[in-house]
Amino acid sequence: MNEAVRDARAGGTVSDPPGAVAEDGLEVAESLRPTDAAALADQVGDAAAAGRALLVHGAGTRFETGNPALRADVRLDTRGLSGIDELDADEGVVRAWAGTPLAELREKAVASGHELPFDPPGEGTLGGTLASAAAGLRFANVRDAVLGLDVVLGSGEATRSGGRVVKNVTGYDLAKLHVGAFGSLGVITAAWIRLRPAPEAVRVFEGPAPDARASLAAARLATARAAAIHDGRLIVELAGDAPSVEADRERLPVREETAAERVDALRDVQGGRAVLRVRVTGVASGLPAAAACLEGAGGVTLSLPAQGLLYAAFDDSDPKALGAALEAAGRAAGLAGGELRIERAPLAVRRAHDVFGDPGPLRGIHRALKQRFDPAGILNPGRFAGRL
Amino acid sequence: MSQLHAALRAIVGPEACLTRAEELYVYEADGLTVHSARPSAVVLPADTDQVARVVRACRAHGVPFVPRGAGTGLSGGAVAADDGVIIECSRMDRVLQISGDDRLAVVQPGVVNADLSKAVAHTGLFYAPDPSSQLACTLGGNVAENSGGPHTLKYGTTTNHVLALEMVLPDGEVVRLGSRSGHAPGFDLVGAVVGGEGTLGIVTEITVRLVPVPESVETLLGIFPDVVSACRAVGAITKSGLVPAALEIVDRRTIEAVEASVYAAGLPTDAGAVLIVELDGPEAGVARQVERVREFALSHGARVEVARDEAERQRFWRARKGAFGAMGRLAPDLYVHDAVVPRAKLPEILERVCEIGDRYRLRLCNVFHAGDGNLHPNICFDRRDADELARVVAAGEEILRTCVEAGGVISGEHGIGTEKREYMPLLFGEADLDAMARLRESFDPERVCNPGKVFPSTRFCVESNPKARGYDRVPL
Amino acid sequence: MSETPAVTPELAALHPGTLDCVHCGMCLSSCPTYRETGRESSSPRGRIYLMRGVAEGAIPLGDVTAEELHLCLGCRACETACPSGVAYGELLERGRAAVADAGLRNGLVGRLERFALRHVVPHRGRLRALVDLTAIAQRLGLTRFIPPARLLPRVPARSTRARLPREFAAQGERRGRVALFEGCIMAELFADVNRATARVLARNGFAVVVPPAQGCCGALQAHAGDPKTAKRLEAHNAAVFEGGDFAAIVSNSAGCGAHQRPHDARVRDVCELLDEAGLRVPTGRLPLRVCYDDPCHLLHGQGVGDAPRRLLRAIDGVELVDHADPGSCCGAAGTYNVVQPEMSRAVLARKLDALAAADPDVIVTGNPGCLMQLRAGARERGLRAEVLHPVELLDRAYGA
Repeated sequence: MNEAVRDARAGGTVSDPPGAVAEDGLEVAESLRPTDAAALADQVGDAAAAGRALLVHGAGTRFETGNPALRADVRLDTRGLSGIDELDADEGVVRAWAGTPLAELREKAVASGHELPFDPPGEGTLGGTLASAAAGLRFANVRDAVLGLDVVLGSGEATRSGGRVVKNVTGYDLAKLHVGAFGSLGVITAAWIRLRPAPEAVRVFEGPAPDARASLAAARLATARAAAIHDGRLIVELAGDAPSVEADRERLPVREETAAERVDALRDVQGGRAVLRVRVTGVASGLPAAAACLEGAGGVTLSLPAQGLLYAAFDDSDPKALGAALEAAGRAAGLAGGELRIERAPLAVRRAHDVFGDPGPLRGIHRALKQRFDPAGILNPGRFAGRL
Repeated sequence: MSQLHAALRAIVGPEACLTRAEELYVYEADGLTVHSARPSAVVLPADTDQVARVVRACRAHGVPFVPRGAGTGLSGGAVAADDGVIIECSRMDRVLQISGDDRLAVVQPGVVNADLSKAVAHTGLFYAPDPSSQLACTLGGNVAENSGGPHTLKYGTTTNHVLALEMVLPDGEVVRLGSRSGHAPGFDLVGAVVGGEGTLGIVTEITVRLVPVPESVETLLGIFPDVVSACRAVGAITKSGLVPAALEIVDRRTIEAVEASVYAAGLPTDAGAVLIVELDGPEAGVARQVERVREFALSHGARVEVARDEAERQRFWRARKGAFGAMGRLAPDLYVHDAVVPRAKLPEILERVCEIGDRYRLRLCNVFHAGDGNLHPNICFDRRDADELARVVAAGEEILRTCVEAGGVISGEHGIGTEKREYMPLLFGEADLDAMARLRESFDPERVCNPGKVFPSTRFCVESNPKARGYDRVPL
Repeated sequence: MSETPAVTPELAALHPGTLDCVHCGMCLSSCPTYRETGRESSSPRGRIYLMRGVAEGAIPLGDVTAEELHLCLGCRACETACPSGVAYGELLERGRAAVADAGLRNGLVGRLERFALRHVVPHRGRLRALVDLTAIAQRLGLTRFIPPARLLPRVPARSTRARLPREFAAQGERRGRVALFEGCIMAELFADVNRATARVLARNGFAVVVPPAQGCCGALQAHAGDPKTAKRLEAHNAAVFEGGDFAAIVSNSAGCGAHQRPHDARVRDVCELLDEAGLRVPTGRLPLRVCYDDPCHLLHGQGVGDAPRRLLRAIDGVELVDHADPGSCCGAAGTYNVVQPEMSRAVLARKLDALAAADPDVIVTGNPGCLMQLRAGARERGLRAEVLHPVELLDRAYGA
C-alpha cells in the first residue's frame, strides 16, 4: 500500500510526498488536492487543455485493480471533497462528496436508522467505490444504490445527472455509465445514494457446505443477504424482520451461529493480497463447476452463489504457475457461462492482459464514448477496459 | 421516399410494410394523443436481421426511424418525427428462453409484460416491473422508458432487471450488450440504453432477471379523512423500516369520480383519501407487517380493512384502477401527468396541484405512488377545444415547475419523449444536457434514431457537428 | 389533404361513441386480429381511431377502413378489457353500416353475404332449402371442394329438423314459464340442441313455450352492417314475444342473446337462467374431462362466464379442466369463418392449440357458430373430443 493511502488512514496531512505509484510502475511528481467541486473542474479543464494525464484517486484502494495507467502526469486526489451534504432520514437518501470515507458515511447512515448499501473490501471513499463498482459480500450491486451523480467530465465541465428521488426517468441514466468506469469518462465529485432501512434482526450462521443445490437454495432464502462458500464452509447472513429471519433460520442447512464479523472477515479473501486474484462472474448453475476448476489449479475460492460471483486467490508467483492459474481462470469463466476479471496481479501480467477482458465488438462504442467525454484522453488513460 | 418504400417492402415483404394513408393515420400517436405526427411508413419486422436491414435502408435514404411497441406510452415517445419510419416490433413476440435455475428469461421486444410473468409462472418466479399498462405494454417499450409501476418501491424499475440486450445500432450493426451474469466488462451500456427512450438504437432481444414469487401477499385499504393524514401515515410506514410492495393513494376528487361511474367500488364519497398498501414476503414476516401497517393507519385517523380473499383484494385495487376509466368517461381525452417529489413534500404539492387545476378551470384528480413520491395528476379534457388544450398544457408546465422547485423531477415513469422535452432545462443546465448529448452521439452521430425526443427542440439548432468539437483529433 | 371528406349524418352519429376511447391501448392484447397481425389498424383502438377520423372528416371513408372493420371478429373481448367502457360492439355495427352505405362492401363476398342475410337466412323455407342443398352436397361428397362448406357440420336428417312442439310441460315443482328462442341456424343445424334445451328447462321446473311465429333475431344482419334488415327482424320478433305470459325469453345461442338483450329485459341465456334459479342437480354420472370454452357473445357480450361452469361442475363425475385463454375467440364469429377464412383459421389454430394441450373428452360451448367451428376444427386437428352445448351435457346427465 503506498504512502498516500497510509497517510489517509492515519488522518494524514493534505500534501502527500510525491513518489512512485508502485502498482503501476509510474513516477508521478505532482499531486493536486482540490477542496471543492469548482476547483476540481478547473483543474481537470486545465489538464485537458495542456494534455496532462491525470491519475484520479481517493484512498487509493483500487490501484491494483484495473489496467495499469499508460501515463500519469499529475495525481488528482479527491479526498479534499469530503463530507455529507445532506441526509434525508425520512426519505432514506444521502448526498455526499466523493472523497468521503465509506466508514464515515456508514456511521451517519446507521445513526439515522439506515444501512449504507456498500461493503467492499478495503473500504475507501464513496467516489472510489462508485468508480470501481466495488462489490462487497452483502451488497454486490453498487449501481442500484446511485440516484444521482455529479461528475466533472474529461473536458472539464461540471455536470449532474439523476436526482435525489428514487424514481426518475428524466433524461439518460448517465450515472450508469460512470459507475464502474474507473474514472475514464469523468471524475465523480458527489452522489445521491439510496440508503436501506436497518434490518430488525441480523444473524449469521455457518457450517460445512452442503451440495451445490442446497447451498444455492440457502443463499436464495428471502432474508439471506450474504451467503458465501469458502474453505468447505457455508456462511449465511440473514437480515430482515425477526419472524422472517427466524423462519429462514429453520430452513438453513447450517446451524452454528456466529457473528457478523465472520462475514466481514471474508472480505479479506475477496480483497486480499494474494499474488493473483481473479473474479469469475456467471450464472448460478455454472458457478460450482467454475469453482472446482479454479480449485483444481490451486486457487483458494470464495463463492457467492446467489450473486453469481466467484473469487479465487493464487499465491504462487512462479510465472508458469501464474500462467496455469490464468488459463484455469479463463476456463472457469467459460464454465460459469460468464466472464473473468483479473482483480490483482503482478504488473507484468496486467501489462500483458487486459484485466477486464477485451470489449470485443463493443470497442467501437467504448472508443466513441471515451472520445466524447474525455476528448483529450487525460483521465486515467489506459486504466479501463480496452485500455481506454 | 417511394424508393425507400420499395426497399422496405423488399426487406419485410409487402404485407409487413404499411404505406397507405389510413394505415399510417392510426400510428400518428401513442397513448398521448395531443402529440401526433404521421409516419411515412410503418414496417413490422419479423426478426433482428430484418430490423437491421430496415435501419440501414432508412439511414441510406436519410430518413429517421423510431421503434414502437404497443404504443401505450404516455410521453409521445413512439411518434415519428420528420416523416420518419416506424419500426413496429409487435411481431417479435416470442419468449425465447426461460431458466428457472438461473432465474432469467430471454425475450423478444414485442412480448407483452404480463405475458412474460404468465409464461414463467411455472418456475415460481415472475418479472417484477409491472406498469399499470402491463396487460398491453411490451418489454421493448419497458426497456426504452425504464418503466416502473406500483411495485417499484420494493422491487425497483426495469433497469434493475435487465441483464443483457441485443440491439441494432443506428448504423445497422447488431451488438450484444451486457451479459447473463449481469457483470459484462466495460461500460454499463445496458444501464445507459435502458431508459434511452429508443434514441440509441433498436432493442431486438432482452435478457431479464426473474425474482421469486413472494410466499405471502396481503392487501390493506385505509380510508382517511384527508390526504395529509394519508401521506403522514405513509411517511410513518416507510420511516419505520417497512418496505411495502405497493403504496397507492387516490385523492377525494378521484374517489368522487370513481364512485359516480360504473367502476364504483363502494367507497364513502366524503373520504379524503384512500390508501392501498400491499405487503409481500415470507409469510412469517408479512403477518406482523400487516399489524404494524394497520396500527400506523389507525393512528393517523383511518378506517382500515384487510382483504380476506382475492375478490376483496381486487375490490380494493378497483379504487385505484377505476380512476383511469372513470376519468376517461368524463371527457374525450385524458392527460396523465407524471412528476416526482420527495415524499415528505407530497401533501403540500398535492394541494398546489389541485389549486393549479382549479385556476385553469380543469377537471383534475390525483392518483399517486405514495411510496416513492411519484404523482399522476389526471386531467380530462377535449382536445378539439383549442383553448382547453392550451390550458391543459399550461397547467402541466406549472405542475412540473412546482415539483422541480420542491426538489423533485419531471418524470418518474413516463419518460420525456416529445411531451416534456422543452422542460428539460428546468432540471438540467447546458453542461448536463451536453453530457447527455455526448452519450447520444456516441450511439447515433447522425441523429437518425428517434430524433426529436428527450432533448429540447432548440438544442440542435446550432449545428453541433461532432467533428467541429474536435472529437477526432485525439487518436486512441 | 386538399378537401375535407364529406361526413354523412350516419357517420356523424358514429362520432360520440368514439369519444369514450382515450387511446390507452389496453384493448390491444385482447384482440385476436391484433395478435395475429401486430398492426394497429387491426386493433380495437386503431379501428375506433379510424372511425373517429372518418366521423370528424380527418380521413375519407375508404378501403382501408372498410377492410379493417370487416377484418374485425366482433368478439368484443376489447369491451371487457377497456377501462373506459367503450361500447365497441355498437360502434362496429354502425361503422359497418356506414361502409355498406358508402358502397364499399360491393365485392362478390359482400354482396353474397348481404343477399344471404337479407333474403335467405330470415326466411325459414329458403333457409331450409339451402340446408337441404347442403345436405345433398355433403352426401355427394361435393363439399370438399367448397372451403366454407367444409366447416359445416353434417346436416342432420330431415326428420330431426322438424319443428319443436309449441309447449313443454314443467316437471316437478313448477318454477315458472319461459319462452324459448329457437334461432335460425340453431333450429336448422342443431335442432337437437333446441330440444335438449327445452327438456332441461322442463326438468328444472319451467314450462316452456315455443312461439311458432318467431324468426331470426337480426344479429347477423346487424353485425354485417345491414341495420334496416336487422330492425325489421327485431320488430317482427318483438311483436311475437310481446306481452306473452312468460318470465323470460331463453336463448341458447350466445350471439342471439347478446343481440336481443339490449331490446328486451326478459332475455336470458339458458345457463344464466338455470344458475340463477338453482340447477336441479342431475342424478346421472358422467365421468368426463371437460373444457368449457366461452362464446364471446356470452362472456364479453353478456357478462356471463361463471354460470355455465357452475352448472357443469354440478354434474357428478365431470372434471372441469382449464385451457389457455377460454375467453378468446374461436374464429367462428357469425359469418366470419365464411367471409374471412384465412384469419378465421389462424384464430382457430390458437384455440385448438390450447384445447389440444388440455386434452379433454368433451369441449363445451354455448353458441351454434362456435359449435360448428370447434367441431370442424377438432376433427381436422384429430382431437378426440366431442363438441357439445352445455344443455346437451346436462340433458345427458339427466337421462343417464
